[in-house]
Amino acid sequence: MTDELLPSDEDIRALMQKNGRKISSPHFENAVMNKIKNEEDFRTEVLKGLKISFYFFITALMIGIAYFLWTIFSQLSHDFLSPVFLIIGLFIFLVVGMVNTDNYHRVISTFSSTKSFVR
Amino acid sequence: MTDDECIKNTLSGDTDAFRHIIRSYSDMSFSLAVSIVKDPQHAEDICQNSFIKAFNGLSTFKGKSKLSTWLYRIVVNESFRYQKKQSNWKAHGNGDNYEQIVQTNDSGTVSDYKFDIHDALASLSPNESLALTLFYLEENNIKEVSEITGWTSSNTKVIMHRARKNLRKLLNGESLQ
Repeated sequence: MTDELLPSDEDIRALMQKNGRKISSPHFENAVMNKIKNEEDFRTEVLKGLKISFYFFITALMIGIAYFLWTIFSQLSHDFLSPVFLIIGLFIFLVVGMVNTDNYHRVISTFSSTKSFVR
Repeated sequence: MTDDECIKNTLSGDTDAFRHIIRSYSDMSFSLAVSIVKDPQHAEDICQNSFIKAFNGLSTFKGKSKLSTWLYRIVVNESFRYQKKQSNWKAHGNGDNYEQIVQTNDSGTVSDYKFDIHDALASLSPNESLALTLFYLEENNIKEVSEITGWTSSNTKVIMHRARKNLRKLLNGESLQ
């Protein structure tokens, strides 16, 4: 067995090259480009929506944290237990916020990185 | 425009530059897909999906191999994935459906084949017709065929040897049984 073209294979090579297949559809190229463009447009729309959703999420998170902090400071002057519960609540709120922020970041990165030039 | 320029322009945002790649490689991709799935209509769909996959994954192409090798690998994988889903391949063509192809070689002698080349390729197994298409149509060497198909070198040689033998039998009107 050899990986070189033998003289006896020339007829097979010539036959195959003479009868090589071509795509019959004249619109193949345009069909592919249209699908690509549609996918790109869809990806851009989804990314835009994700980013807007993320900004709203950050705003809500900041408002929530600010409310907790204000409540803690106003409780500190009155008793001991309420601030403890408020601090625990703030901690849980922060953890949930960080996890979700990381989630958003991962989704946006994944969606952006499939093609490096999607803006 | 060279392949490298096309890739660079496409990744810079000029989507239209990808057309050059489609134009350059669509026919061979189609031949590869047909050699595996045996159905031109499905082969065209597979080619479309392959080019879209190639476009989406273009940033991962590192340039270690030729663009054609990378692209045909996608086409071959997509074709085998489709074929696995279908999980059958049928031999097309029968003894009654032939046309005589007269081929003249360099010495001036004439060889007659009794079976149409397309029917013969359709009657071979997907691996054999794929190997022949890559070796004779695209003129890849064994190493390049191995890279595209994922077969080992020795496996590729075995498949090529069997494919050549079976193709000659079919072209001469003999059966493979």
